[in-house]
Amino acid sequence: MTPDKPHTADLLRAAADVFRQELMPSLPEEKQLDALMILAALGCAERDLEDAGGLRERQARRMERILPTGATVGDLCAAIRNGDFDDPDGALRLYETLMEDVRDRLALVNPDYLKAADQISTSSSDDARRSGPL
Amino acid sequence: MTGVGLAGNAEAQARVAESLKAPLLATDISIDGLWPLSGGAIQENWAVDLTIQRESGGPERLECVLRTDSPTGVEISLGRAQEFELLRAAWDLGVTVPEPMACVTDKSVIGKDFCLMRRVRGTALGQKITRDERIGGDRDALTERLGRELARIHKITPKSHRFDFLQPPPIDAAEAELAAMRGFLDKMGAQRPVLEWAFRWLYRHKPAPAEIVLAHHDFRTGNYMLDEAGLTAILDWEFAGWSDRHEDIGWFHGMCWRFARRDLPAGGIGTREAFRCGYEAESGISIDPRKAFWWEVYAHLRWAVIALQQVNRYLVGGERTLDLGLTGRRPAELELEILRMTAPERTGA
Repeated sequence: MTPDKPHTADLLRAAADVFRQELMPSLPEEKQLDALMILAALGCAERDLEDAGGLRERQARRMERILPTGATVGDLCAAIRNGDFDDPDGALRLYETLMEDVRDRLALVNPDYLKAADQISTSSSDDARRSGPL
Repeated sequence: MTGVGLAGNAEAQARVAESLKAPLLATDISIDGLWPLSGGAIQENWAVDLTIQRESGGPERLECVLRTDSPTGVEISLGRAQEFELLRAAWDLGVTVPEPMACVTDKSVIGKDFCLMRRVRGTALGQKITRDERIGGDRDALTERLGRELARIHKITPKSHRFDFLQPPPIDAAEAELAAMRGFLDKMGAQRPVLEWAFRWLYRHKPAPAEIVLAHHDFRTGNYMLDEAGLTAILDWEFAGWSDRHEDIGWFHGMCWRFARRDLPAGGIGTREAFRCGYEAESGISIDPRKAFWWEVYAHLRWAVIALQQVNRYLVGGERTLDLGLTGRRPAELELEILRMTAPERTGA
């Protein structure tokens, strides 16, 4: 027994293509923002379906890297708030885990944002921290 | 706060016209046109064209905006009457704001407060402004001008002005802001490890208390209006309150308000230097870059908390608009920026 094809994510992609290429050009200007928001929601759905719940599993594994098995997100928040990760090693371990998780979530909800952020970070001339770390 | 719908409601419009007679010093007012403007998530804006007749002289036509509260607002925002009072103070100091014309607090008119401002031309859309450099004239000049405008706003201090509706001036603005955000987050029961990281970092790097000024609290691209030549108005005063001047500076430079131009730190339109030049020339006060950086990190935490509040309007408040729903995907972007700004020093690196 196998699921029918195409996969729902594939269908959503086709639906988004029709919407973008054939319907959006005929929508008035004041409806373009709504149309873009619909595309954003369709994109999220498509990527979530392809991920098939993988995010939750990856997040559970990440939690185990920094807290004992069975710890909840609430426990993690409490530990950070309590200063349990203030020491340099702990801070670095936590930081890397949080960064990995944020990137993972962003890849699902807004991969274009992640891409833009990575592009500018390699060519950035921004000088926010010019005067050195606080 | 729902109030009375204005569109197509002749009786409500007549009451509005009547209520504006005294503040506009008019003997007669007719509403010639009224239509909704795309507004913020917090207030409703109506374009309204009036013809007013005074005791002497011919009829005068006024193009205005009528601004009132939306069905549900964010709890930290000011009411329209209060916003109007701040707008008037800013107007008096030469800040480029829409001319405040009338504020009506008689609830029998439309069931809620509303105010009337002169309508200003231009666009405020952040995506458009940061993509199309033809808007707003020379960008260096515009960036410097915005620095000057903010410095003018910051001339309003607890010593020069009294606003009874604002929270009292904090002794330590950074501490007060963090406590407020902490309260909002805890009240929502939100569990966001990256925001906890942000709190921890901000508490551990908190700058010393400094002079308190009136902070606009939402001074950023998207909240000022431009025409072809330049700035036409600083908008959206509903979050204003007493704080450290660097709070507005950090907010303006936040990555979250650069829209299409991540590479232009001053609101996606210019350089830090241009903004600083304008601010310092107008105020005579130097921007402390370390403080500004702290507040820039804070800006992302604050926007994340506000975004979560907006999502709650969708999740809990029953305002099921796609716009609010998608705001739930915003905090991840802000969390990425927070982490990028607060990377720990690598030991041995």
